[in-house]
Amino acid sequence: MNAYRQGDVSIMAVERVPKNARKVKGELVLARGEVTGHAHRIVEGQAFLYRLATGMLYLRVLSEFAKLYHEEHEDVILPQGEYEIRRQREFDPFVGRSDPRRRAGEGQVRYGMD
Amino acid sequence: MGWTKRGVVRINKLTAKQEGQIIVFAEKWNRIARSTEPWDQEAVAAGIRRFYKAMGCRQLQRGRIHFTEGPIAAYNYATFKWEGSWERHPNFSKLDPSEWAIRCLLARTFEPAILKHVEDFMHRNIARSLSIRRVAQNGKNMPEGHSRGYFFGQADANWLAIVDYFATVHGNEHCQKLEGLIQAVQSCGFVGLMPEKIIFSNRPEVAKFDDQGRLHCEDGPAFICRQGWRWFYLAGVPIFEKYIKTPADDLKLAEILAEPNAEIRTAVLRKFGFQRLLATTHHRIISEAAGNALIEFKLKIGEHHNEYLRTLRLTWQDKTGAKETLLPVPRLARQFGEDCPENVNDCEQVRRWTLGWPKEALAVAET
Repeated sequence: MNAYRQGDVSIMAVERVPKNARKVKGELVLARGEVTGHAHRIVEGQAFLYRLATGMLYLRVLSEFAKLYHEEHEDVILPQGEYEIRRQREFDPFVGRSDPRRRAGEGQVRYGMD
Repeated sequence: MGWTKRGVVRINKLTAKQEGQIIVFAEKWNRIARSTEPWDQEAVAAGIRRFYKAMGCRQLQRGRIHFTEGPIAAYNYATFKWEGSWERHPNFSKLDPSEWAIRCLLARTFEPAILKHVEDFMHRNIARSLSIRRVAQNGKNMPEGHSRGYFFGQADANWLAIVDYFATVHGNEHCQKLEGLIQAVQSCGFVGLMPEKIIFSNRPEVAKFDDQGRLHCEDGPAFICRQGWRWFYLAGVPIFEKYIKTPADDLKLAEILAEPNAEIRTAVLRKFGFQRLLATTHHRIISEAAGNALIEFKLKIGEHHNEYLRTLRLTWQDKTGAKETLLPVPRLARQFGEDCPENVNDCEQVRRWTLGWPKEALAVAET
């Protein structure tokens, strides 16, 4: 299973895009930075983006290669195939501090936000 | 020239003269993006009239053109009633040419490699000013049934430079339609276009950038508009004023780890220095791999005493140089969830967990 990473975006090869995923129209943006507006986007090659109702993203590369571009990170070349897109996750140790039922250090996993 | 599958001829090579013009346009638009000179109201209005004409929109009378000193006032004023607007102004949507739409049109004439070459140069060499997205965070909410106008400004310099280049040097007809907009943007701060009115705002009083053209100031606001609004930036990342005003020795690591936005965390760490924070905090390095480290901190947070927090210290190199950040990670196996790494004390295994990579995943490229 081949995996690629561009910044906080992980692209992992999968056997196939789930059948119930719906095609995303418009620009092929895998993720966009909230504060800088920088985006991880496909700029070369033929590809389609799909989204599940849960929000999970998938990419299908139809051409021989597709180029993933970002303003700050180097390009990533993705060969033809199907991929699952994920944001890097981290742990929020401070969540629920004000809730007396939660123990200190309990925390919660959160997904990347930039 | 090369033949595509559809039999269309696309330009796949630039002449030396065309190549030389890229830097000329980049320099021109870099000056526009950084400019703090007062606006030229006549040039702005004339430019927008040209743009409306090129897009087949009805010209607005002089009384419908408004000028404001700052972007916040322009943004708050730039609303229009949605109902009936599109019927009365069917071509209005043509006034919103995005970078992506222009790229698609240019791809009919130029090979992707040529577009990428010009885009990369412009994006790397033109400063990024305050974007309307950032202004919107300080703006008022719209009344019900209203819509916001289209905004263009100095922050659009890098893609308008591409349009200007292809319009002037290559005579591309799609880009030439935007010449009026180009004229307007190079003469003011922001342009807001609505069906029944147009609003312009003046350029900023202060705009400070780092050597990579990102808004940046370590001891004050990086952007001050003429109405007095101030925005704080570190290396192109908008941050809270407290991170600028707090003396370096007073900043607590817990405050940085509580910041949910990874880019803000990275920018603040860069200002205060990771080593300085390490020196002032009880910590131990649990494991290290490939320049990254898994570190456990012993911190006093609020009423909780001696709490242990784990973070991954990640270091990497991107187009702008060396970077590092701290990524809070779970400490206990139950906190990782069902795909918990075999060894929660192994830096690389924990890093792969943050990316959602299973054990068998082979990392082909990481940038």
